[in-house]
Amino acid sequence: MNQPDPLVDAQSQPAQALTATRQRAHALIAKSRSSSVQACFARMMDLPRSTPLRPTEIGLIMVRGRVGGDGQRFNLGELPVARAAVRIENGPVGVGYVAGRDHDHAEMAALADAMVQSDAWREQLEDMVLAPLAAELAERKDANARKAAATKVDFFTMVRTRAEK
Amino acid sequence: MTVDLSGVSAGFAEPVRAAQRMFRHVLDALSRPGTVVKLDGSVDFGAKGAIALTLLDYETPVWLGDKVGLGEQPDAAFANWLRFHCGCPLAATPTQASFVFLDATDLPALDQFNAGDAKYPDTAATLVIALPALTGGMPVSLEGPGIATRQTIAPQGLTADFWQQAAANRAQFQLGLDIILTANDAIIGLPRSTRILAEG
Repeated sequence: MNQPDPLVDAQSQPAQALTATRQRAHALIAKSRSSSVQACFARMMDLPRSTPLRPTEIGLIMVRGRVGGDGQRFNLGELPVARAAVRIENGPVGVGYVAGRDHDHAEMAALADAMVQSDAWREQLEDMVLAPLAAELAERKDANARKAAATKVDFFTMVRTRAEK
Repeated sequence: MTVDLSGVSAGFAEPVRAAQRMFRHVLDALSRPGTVVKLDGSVDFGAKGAIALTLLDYETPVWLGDKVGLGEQPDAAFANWLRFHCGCPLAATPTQASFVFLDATDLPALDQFNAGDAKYPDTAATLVIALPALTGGMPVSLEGPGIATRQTIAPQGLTADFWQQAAANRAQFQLGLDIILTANDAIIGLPRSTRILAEG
């Protein structure tokens, strides 16, 4: 059971770094709104020419959950997912999976995944797309946290009463 | 299992229409055994690629030939391409496969593939055999459903031993394998109902 995965072990240091970079790009684009991603791509001067490897399509995946770390797994519900796969001209293949039914969102995710793997495009993508999206996500997270913090109830009186005894 | 996408090329540009057209061609080939059916539109791997895109999905285990006899399936490029476009599993043994893609150069014994069982003869495997050409080989006569009188074909690269096995395949009807011969972008269907007669 505990056999090492040859594919993972065979990955060299740079390959692991690339995997991490791709995962970050996937996460950022999947979590961002389609319109924000589109706005970032629209600001780029030029984009690599790409051809679809298979047509973009929508499907359902079953989301599974469990209560606590040791609960039984149960089917939480189905989630629509759009997926795309594109190849940059003479370059790598990128795949994109995003929640929802937005073809463009999935195609942009696939394009970004391909660009992250290409030495010629990686830095441009980071500057023009990934960094702004990361900032926007951090801002959104911060705003949500502040909204939530405003509703926090502080039971300081009870705590103090107990501490003084 | 990770699929290496670096060498994977595109499939049908218009999957639904192209697959429907291809399905029609395969149907024609199998209902008129021995006729050479030309395929239109091309994808990588020629006729076998087009047949795969049309007929395979996640429920059809595929066997790609076994050169070394150790259960190791060789054609990595085709296997990756199939796994990406069709999502089909690779069968662990020849018996489990519902579709088999082979080259005429390394044809194994046909009786190792699933010929269906008496209750479910439809579960039998379909063999797709790639040949150098569909004409110019040893002539063979065919008789049976879908053939008015007699049809003669002469595909290249098939041995007398293969034809004997194909005739034995007919003998166990309604069990048996369905065979599609391919070369470039043309196919010949040899369903299990076709009787194979030596020329003469």
